[in-house]
Amino acid sequence: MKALRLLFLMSSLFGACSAQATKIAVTDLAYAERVSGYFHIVDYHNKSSERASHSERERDGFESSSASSRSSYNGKSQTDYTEVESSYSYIEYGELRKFVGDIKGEILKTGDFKLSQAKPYTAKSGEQIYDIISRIKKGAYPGADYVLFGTVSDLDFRNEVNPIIGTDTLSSTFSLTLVAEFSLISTRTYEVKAAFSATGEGQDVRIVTGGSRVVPSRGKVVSEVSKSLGLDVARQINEQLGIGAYQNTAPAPGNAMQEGEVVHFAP
Amino acid sequence: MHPFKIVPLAIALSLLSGCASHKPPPRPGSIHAKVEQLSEMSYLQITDLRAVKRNHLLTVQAEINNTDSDNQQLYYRFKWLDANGFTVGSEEAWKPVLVYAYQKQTLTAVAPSPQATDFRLVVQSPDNTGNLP
Repeated sequence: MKALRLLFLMSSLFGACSAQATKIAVTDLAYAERVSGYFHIVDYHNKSSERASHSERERDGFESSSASSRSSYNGKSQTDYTEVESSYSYIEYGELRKFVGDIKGEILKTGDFKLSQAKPYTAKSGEQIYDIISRIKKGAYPGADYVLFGTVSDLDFRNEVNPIIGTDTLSSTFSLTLVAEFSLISTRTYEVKAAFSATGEGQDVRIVTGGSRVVPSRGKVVSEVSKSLGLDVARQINEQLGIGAYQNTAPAPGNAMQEGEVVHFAP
Repeated sequence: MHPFKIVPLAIALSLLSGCASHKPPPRPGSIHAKVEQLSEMSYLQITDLRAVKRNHLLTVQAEINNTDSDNQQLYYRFKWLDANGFTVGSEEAWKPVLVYAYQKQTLTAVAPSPQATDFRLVVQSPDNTGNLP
């Protein structure tokens, strides 16, 4: 009977352990961007007024006659001219509310983690967005064991048109590359369990003939970037935590062969 | 010979001949893995085949060598495949090329879409009377 009770206790403990998978909160990607601007204001006011009056009086009597006339002119003109020219620059901090959906999806697919929702960063203050410890302490990641904190390193849109050699057509490429740095931080000990930079790439390539105009699909490009970023993040988390081979190693569409790489087939 | 002895011998011989005529599959990454011949070409040989991705489009170049002293007619077309092995775009038209005696001719083609990540070069030469592969 005692042995049975022990068996029951152990099985319930193991059950509880397996149910408590590690919870990760994925933050939106933080970014800092220098905003520069230039302004040139010209303010010109002109006010003018004129007043003219003329009066004539004539009297003709039996013995005398008199005539008088009076005219007056009053003119006033005022001009104000102000010209101000300056440039300004400041650093804007915020969070991209995009590109993390597929990261969450791929982490869930691994089956080793559960996700908890992070509170978005909405404060106006600037650099505190990077103070992840303070945000953890403030309870921005309820229930999470780890926070996957991501910051945007670079976001690069390119729109290129290149001739296709040997044809009279052009290849119009609209591409987006996003590089972000990630740290997987423990919410209890603040230990960094994994850190890496991941890349998301997407492109919309159209073949055009001279004179025709194409409008690239931004939605398709953004979707590809998000998917490839998610795959890269999940792969690197698995690699660094040593969980095992990441199953979903399918390359992003169109990335099977690298650009410019020559494949020579053996006779 | 007794007829009952001939039958198993004939079966064994036919099996052996079947094995002998069966060609091994082409090595992956070799020219033969990328070329489909509609008949064995006796005089025309694909001596070089290379591919590169330029502007996200697969570009293929093949070199055809005519080993004969006569001019040889060649018809070719490319079959473009996506990452899952499905054909991309519609079937290309056959393109004729006259390869002069002992000459090397270069064929170049660009994939119609960035989805094309693989290809097959389909060739046929009506003057060649080789065996079917």
